[in-house]
Amino acid sequence: MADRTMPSRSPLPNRPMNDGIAMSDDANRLDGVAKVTGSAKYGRDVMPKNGVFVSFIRCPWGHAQARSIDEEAASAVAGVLEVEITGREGRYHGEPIGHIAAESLAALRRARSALNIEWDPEDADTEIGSPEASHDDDPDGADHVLEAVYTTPVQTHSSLETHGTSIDHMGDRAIIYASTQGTFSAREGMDRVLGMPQSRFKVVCEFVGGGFGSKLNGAGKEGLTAGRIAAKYGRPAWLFCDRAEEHLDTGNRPSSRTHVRIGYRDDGTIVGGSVRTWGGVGVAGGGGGVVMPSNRYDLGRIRKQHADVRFNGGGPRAFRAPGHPQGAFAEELMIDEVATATGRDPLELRMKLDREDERRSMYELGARLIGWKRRQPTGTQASVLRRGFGIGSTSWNRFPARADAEVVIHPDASVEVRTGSQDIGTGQRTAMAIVVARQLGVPLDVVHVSIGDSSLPAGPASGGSVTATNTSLAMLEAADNLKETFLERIAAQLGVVAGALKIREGDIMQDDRRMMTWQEACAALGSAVSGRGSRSRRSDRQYSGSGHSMGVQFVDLEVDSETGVIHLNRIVAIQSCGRVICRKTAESQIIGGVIQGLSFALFEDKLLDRNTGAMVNPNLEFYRIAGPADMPKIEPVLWEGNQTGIRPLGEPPTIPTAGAIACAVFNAVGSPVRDLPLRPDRVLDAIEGGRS
Amino acid sequence: MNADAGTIAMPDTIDEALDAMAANPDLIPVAGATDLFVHWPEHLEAHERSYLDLSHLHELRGITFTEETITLGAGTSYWDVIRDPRFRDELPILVNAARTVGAVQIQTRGTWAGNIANASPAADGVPALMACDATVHLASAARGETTVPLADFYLGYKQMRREPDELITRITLPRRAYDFQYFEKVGARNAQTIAKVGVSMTHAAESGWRIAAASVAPVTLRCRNLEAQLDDEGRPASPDDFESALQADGVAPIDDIRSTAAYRSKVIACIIWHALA
Ligand SMILES: Cc1cc2nc3c(=O)[nH]c(=O)nc-3n(C[C@H](O)[C@H](O)[C@H](O)COP(=O)(O)OP(=O)(O)OC[C@H]3O[C@@H](n4cnc5c(N)ncnc54)[C@H](O)[C@@H]3O)c2cc1C
Repeated sequence: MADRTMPSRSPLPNRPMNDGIAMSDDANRLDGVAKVTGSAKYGRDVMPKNGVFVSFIRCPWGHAQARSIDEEAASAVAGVLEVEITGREGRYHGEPIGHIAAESLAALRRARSALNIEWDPEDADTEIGSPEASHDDDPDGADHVLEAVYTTPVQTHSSLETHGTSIDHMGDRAIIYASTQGTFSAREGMDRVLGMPQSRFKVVCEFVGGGFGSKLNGAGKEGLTAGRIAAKYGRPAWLFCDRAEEHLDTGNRPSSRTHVRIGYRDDGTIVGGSVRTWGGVGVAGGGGGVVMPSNRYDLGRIRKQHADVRFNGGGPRAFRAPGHPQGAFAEELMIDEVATATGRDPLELRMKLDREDERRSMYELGARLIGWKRRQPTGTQASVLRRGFGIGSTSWNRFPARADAEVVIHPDASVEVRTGSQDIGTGQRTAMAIVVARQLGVPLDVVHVSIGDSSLPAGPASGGSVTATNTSLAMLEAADNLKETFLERIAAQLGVVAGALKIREGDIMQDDRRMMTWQEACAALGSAVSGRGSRSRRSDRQYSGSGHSMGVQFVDLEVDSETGVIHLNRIVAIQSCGRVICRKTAESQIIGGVIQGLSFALFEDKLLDRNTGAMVNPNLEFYRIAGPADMPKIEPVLWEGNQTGIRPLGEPPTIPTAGAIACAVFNAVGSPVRDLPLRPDRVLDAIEGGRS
Repeated sequence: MNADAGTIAMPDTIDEALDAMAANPDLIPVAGATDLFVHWPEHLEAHERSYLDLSHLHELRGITFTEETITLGAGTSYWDVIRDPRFRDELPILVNAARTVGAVQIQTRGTWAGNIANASPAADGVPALMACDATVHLASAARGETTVPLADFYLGYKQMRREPDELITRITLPRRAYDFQYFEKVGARNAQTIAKVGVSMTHAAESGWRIAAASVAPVTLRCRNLEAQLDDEGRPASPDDFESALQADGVAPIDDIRSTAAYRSKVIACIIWHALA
């Protein structure tokens, strides 16, 4: 009988396996076990002995003035160190008007209630509303005009580890355990509040429980307030938000309204028009931009205007591909509306409108994988369960950022990869180990990663999908420099020329002969050797190349026309990211992006009460995020086409999902649902509206 | 403030528990605590109350099947029903309902009696039990045992026929040969979700139709008018034909954070009609 071994993963019919294209196919996350067993310590887990606990006092209404505050009663609660009121007006639910510091979390809670604040609520605006759009004349050459308004709600980041900082204050020095996306930027301002030079403290964030852009704000008000208290009492201090505060005051993806008036021809060609967008930025001064049009499609000449709308809500922060998912939702659905109106297949229309040949190849693959030919024309189904198919596209540019790296070979044969920049859950730690192991020629299990510590070589803050792309170039250079020094020293010991030696799976080889094992060679060093590298124009040229990331997603779903409930069957996500470092973490980034996108499409919605301006769902019961039972089969496909350079991957996969789902729902039920989330009642209304 | 404020009593027997309730009617019984303690950290006033822990009372555990009756002790959890093959064979409606409650952690702690006494109109266990003609058995030290049909147990939103000194001791169901059982919950997600609308239905030759609806009124509703319509006329031509019966039954949903009134009215009729297809 033929010898048959089980494949490590059951092969999926009809799709490439993502096998053999990454630097590592099999590597597991180096910190996976630590994370699932809880031995990984996040900033929030660090509760230094003798610490002071701090929390903000916050406004419970959309807009209110505190008429009376019983500071005395709160200060008198046992264990309370101080109560400080810094203002009396709250302009949104969750705005801090002061803080309390106490010996325990329980004392904080008791003091908060003892404050007994009497509020005078004032009128609050809670949404963008329906601003008037003055559109220009219809575009030239149009046979028809589509006018439509697309809206998306406020989405909160909902990081599982909430925002905050734990400070171990040790008199003349300190360690800042910050939950941050920027180990180095989290130092900013900390010197001032601590009254210590930056040389006397460091930021440590070995693990970050999610940030998605909301932890790019340096030390943040949480960190700076904790720092001030730590300095004042000369003691450790701990300030982390609770779940409600996390929803209320740590940023969000702003709501959006997109009003299009677009001309198209009988053949589906779009000949331009005007796009007016509004972003709901709460009390912030800006940050509500909507990326629509995306520039991925040829839509003719578009006149675009954008305005931010202020209301009584917490301000936005960067959120995984800021401005993109909300814009892509409007753009993809608009294209499908044009396709349907002109009797075109949306796939065929995208093949025509898309500006990139490479993405056209992706559409072909995606159509095959999802089974696009089973798609029925929009609005032709009358069964209870109606099948729908949809498409979305994505792209992301590579942004340069400063990054340094160091790699050390220790005499005990371990290799240390040193980078100060953080792993926010993406797998950066694992990716850097793989890059170095490969470049040095040593097995992955001798490599250890020191990461997330501002005393290590500097790296970028994780925003704009820059971390792996830039740090890996510095790592490659560091590994090459190290290898050179290392082999020179070994060659001197062996009495051969350095150029004659190679490292292969750790063995020191001359031609095909093993001269030394890895252990022998490292022991022979006597002391550690290190190599440094940095991302520069030179390393960029040597190790990378131009090119941005792109992708397409295909959705297959069913709509229950009796309840309006959407059941996602499958999502195929094809994504390029240049040279893939680690197959599993790359797939995981794509899957995670899709999950965040489908949750945005179907569930998430920060609801502010129209009367009081208070958020009615500041928890994870009513602020719904997709759960495991809601997951379709998500099939990430790492694009094998153009693999030059290490390109961004964090943000692009979350851009197209909501748009693709909205298109699939439109296909199933026959009328578009132009407002996210695609709630069952909205879907039913669309079905009813379509009938009449 | 009460002398034993902030305490928790741990009786060893039902009698001890009933005596404690008689002595202090403010005592709050605790079973799985999955309703009671959800907001514990923030509800400081709850810390000042006193509690009676029922979770370790063996007398409240246990499920028995006799020729006529099925009895669930008040300590019976969802998980106890899910893993009992007798329910899978005879009353899959209860298993299906149990499986939609929260997720496994909640199913193993939460009790059917707690679901009844919590009196939420969006509960999942209550409509399923109501469609099986459940009877609630209550006991007090002063008056002994009384029984109330679950369908008559609720008087208004969170109002029920339970005196402050009474405990639910068990739930009984008549044993019947059902030829139809149906449980449906429309939630926002597929798990960890509270019903936007829920329906439980049974049919047996001897009893006819039983229909209970969740999240469409201040209480879980037994839909007697609709039952009569189905018994007399069978399935109508359209879900719209349920409108007057449902209205007479008290279906009067509201707009709230989980859904809209219009959605609930439409969907309740649709899913019942669809279930009968
Ligand atoms: C995450 C989560 C998800 C949930 N999902 C669902 C869901 O999907 N569907 C659903 O229906 N519910 C759900 N619940 C609510 C809850 O789990 C159920 O209502 C459960 O049945 C309550 O039972 P318990 O034993 O935990 O009650 P407890 O919390 O212990 O008590 C609830 C009430 O009943 C009273 N009580 C308990 N036992 C007795 C007794 N023997 N006599 C008199 N009074 C008594 C208590 O005093 C209290 O008022 C969920 C809860 C959580 C936390």
